[in-house]
Amino acid sequence: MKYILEVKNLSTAFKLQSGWYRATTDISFALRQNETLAVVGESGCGKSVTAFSLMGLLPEHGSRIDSGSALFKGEDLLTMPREKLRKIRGSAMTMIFQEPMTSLNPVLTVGSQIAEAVYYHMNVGKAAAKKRALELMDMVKIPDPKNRYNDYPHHLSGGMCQRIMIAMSLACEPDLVFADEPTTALDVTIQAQMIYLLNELKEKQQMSMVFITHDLGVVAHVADRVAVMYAGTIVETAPVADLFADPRHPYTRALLKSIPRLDKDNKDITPIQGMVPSIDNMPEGCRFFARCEKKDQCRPDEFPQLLPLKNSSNHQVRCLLCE
Amino acid sequence: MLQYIIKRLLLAIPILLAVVTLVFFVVRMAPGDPAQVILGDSASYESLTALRSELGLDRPIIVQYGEFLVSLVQGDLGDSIIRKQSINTIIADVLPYTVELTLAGVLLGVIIGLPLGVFSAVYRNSFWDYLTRIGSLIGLSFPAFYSGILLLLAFSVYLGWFPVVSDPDMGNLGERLHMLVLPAMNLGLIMMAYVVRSARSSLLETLGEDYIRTAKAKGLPGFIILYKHGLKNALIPVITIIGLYIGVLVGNSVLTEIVFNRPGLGKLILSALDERDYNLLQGLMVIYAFLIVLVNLVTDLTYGMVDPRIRKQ
Amino acid sequence: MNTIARFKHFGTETYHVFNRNKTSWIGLLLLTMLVLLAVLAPVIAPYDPVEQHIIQRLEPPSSQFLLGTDYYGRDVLSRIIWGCRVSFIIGSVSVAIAMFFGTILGSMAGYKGGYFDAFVMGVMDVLMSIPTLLMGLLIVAILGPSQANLIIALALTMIPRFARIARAPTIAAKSKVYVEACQAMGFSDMRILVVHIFPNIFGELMVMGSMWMATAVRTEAALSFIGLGVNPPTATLGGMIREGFKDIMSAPWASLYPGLVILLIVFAANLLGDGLRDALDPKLRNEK
Repeated sequence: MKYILEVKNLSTAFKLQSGWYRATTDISFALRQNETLAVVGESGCGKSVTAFSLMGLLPEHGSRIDSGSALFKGEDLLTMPREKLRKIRGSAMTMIFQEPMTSLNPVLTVGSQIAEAVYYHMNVGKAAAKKRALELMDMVKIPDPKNRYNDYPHHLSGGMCQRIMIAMSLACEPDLVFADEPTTALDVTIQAQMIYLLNELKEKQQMSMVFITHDLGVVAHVADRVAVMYAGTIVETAPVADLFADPRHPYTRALLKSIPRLDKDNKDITPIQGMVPSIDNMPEGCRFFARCEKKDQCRPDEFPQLLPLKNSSNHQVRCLLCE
Repeated sequence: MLQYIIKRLLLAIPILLAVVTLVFFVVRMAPGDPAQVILGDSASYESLTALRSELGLDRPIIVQYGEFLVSLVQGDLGDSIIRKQSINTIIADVLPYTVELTLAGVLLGVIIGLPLGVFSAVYRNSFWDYLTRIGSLIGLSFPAFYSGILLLLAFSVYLGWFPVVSDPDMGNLGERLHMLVLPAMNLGLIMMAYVVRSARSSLLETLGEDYIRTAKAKGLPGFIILYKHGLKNALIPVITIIGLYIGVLVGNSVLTEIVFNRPGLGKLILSALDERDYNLLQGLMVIYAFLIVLVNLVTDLTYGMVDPRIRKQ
Repeated sequence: MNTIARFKHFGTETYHVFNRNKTSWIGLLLLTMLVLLAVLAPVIAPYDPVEQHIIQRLEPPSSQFLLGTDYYGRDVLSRIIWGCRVSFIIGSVSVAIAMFFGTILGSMAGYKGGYFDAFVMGVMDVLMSIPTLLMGLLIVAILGPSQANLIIALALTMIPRFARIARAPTIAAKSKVYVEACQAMGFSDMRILVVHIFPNIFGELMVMGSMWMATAVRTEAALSFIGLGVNPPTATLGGMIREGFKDIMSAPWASLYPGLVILLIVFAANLLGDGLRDALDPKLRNEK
């Protein structure tokens, strides 16, 4: 088995007042064991939707998966029976959310919320589940787990709550973790701790991770590969070093240029002109066309495919000019 | 928790005091002289003055108010000048009937309404959901006296299952319960309508919360998500609403008692109005105010028990 | 945006709100029909509502008396139509009064804050702790059954509900920059309240307005049923049930039809309020 997760041509649509619209189009990527893929893009570009589609967490009403396949350890997540997906979810494949404070149930103790994940997946008794939960709390470096076990979420800080969330997601030693902007809602100092912790745990458990973020600075610290998303599509994917060294897609380039850096004088920092097209008004052809620097050399009528570069099959770009 | 209880208790006292004061002064605004009412139009000036001083009506209103409060604190509602009887006794005689009716109504409403509301939320926008919602909207639009009349016509007159006039004093416990069924159903249907609606909307809101998504991501079975994670949170606002509508139910119990000709505070109000017995009316209002403040207190305490965030404060 | 444009904006906004939820249209339609019936009572009603046809007492529905006659030989249909008038007058006037004073009290309390706020809301809490029916009963029993007293009693129990709606957004808006800017420019408090705060609570006022009108109509009917309504022989729906109740076995039409109409009015107002609430709720909006 070469890949732990192999997503092909995934498209997800949402229902608005005037009909169904694609939130993501033609998403394809693959993930090896112990590899971290960072999915980068502006908010609303479809990063979270992609993760929710794979986890089966899309809202039951008003959303649907239009096409595609997603092989997780050889089995298609999108077509398997719901009950089977449920058993994978939370054990072999888990997710960490953006808002740790609201993502924990306010009327249940944090310990029981971890133990619950163990109890329903591992066929153990309540006492064993609790023991495992305490172990996990210790693993994510929560001081004094025995006393924290019976605390409610409102007793804990945002960082502590996120540690609880991480413990919960690691409860059954997953093969794959989706981390949906796990540090965005936290203070900067806590962010660094959290990324360090995630990296450490990932190495220890030999798991794969899809790390969703809008922060390119974080990407460099966590990722092996990067997929850049724009307006519901992956526009470029490459090993992290390649992407930073040799970005090909005009959007990626523009994105990298728009980050202020401490080690440069930042005179060439330039914002991207124009606006992201809205979901109900997607252009037929390249979605970045209207904002692209090189549009004079390009044409707006053809939707580009995600294709590997000639000299490097690991580096794929969705751009007519790069083909 | 103990601190929370004490705080709630202390908050209830000024409200109770204010309501009692309001009742006292509104009742004093009644036109006409109570002495005249008792003795009739032909009474002599001397006998009127004598009765006024006997009733304490010749003293300043502030003094009367003070005495009213003092005796109230001692648990004494005064005497009915018309019936020449202690109001405490009059009320104590019928209070159990009203309490039993209201409690039965609440119980019925919650027992049927809660599952129906959950069902409606889980199958939202289905045919059965629409039916439940329209049904509950009709339910809460029913004036209690009209629904009572219809129940009476259908089940007592047409089907003959229940007695037309309920006299709970007759017969044993079984018969007493039998006579409670229809009036309790009348109140229960109204309560049910409120419970269904609040349970549905509260659960729907809860099911959209982030922590429900977390529970799904954990791969928990559907019913665990619904009951352990959804319902426990959704219940918190429902409890408040149940408490709130018990007040409405108390008002409706007056109408129910009249329609079913059942003894209780409601029937007592009616006769107090007929006899222009303002002292009794005042006593009844005080009792109602007390009951409602009590219900609010119990609601707050239940609320505190369910929600750990409140318990902590 | 000037004030006129703001209100125009409301118009279109309200229209969109209605369109988002079909049930509110049904409620509005039903309510409009009943209001028309009440307004046109002098034209539509086949008979004088207090005219007694002594020899035709308790007649069943026929082509002469479409819904039959009551104990005094009065036409039930005509009395129902005139009764609607009383219901709507009491219901809408009491809600209008409660809305007016409640909104002003609530927004002033929220705006001024401090002791004023605490005092006003304290009084509101007390008023709210008395059920509508009991408050109506107490006031009407003491002051005497008249249309004005009924309206006062109902308005008193509803003022707190509107005050609560107005207070919270006022507190929220008070700290917003544009309101502080208005204060700095020396606009009067009243102007700030009307222009900047009223639009925020307009939707919820409509919802609560129609819901509480439903309650007011139902409470008025209940008080009339107890015998504390507008004095007979004026036709009131609740009063008709009271009078017809004793003949319910022999002449059910005299009490059941008026009850049905009360139910219809209350249901229509509730349907309208409910539909509006769903349409205005941003959480539910995307679901439909």
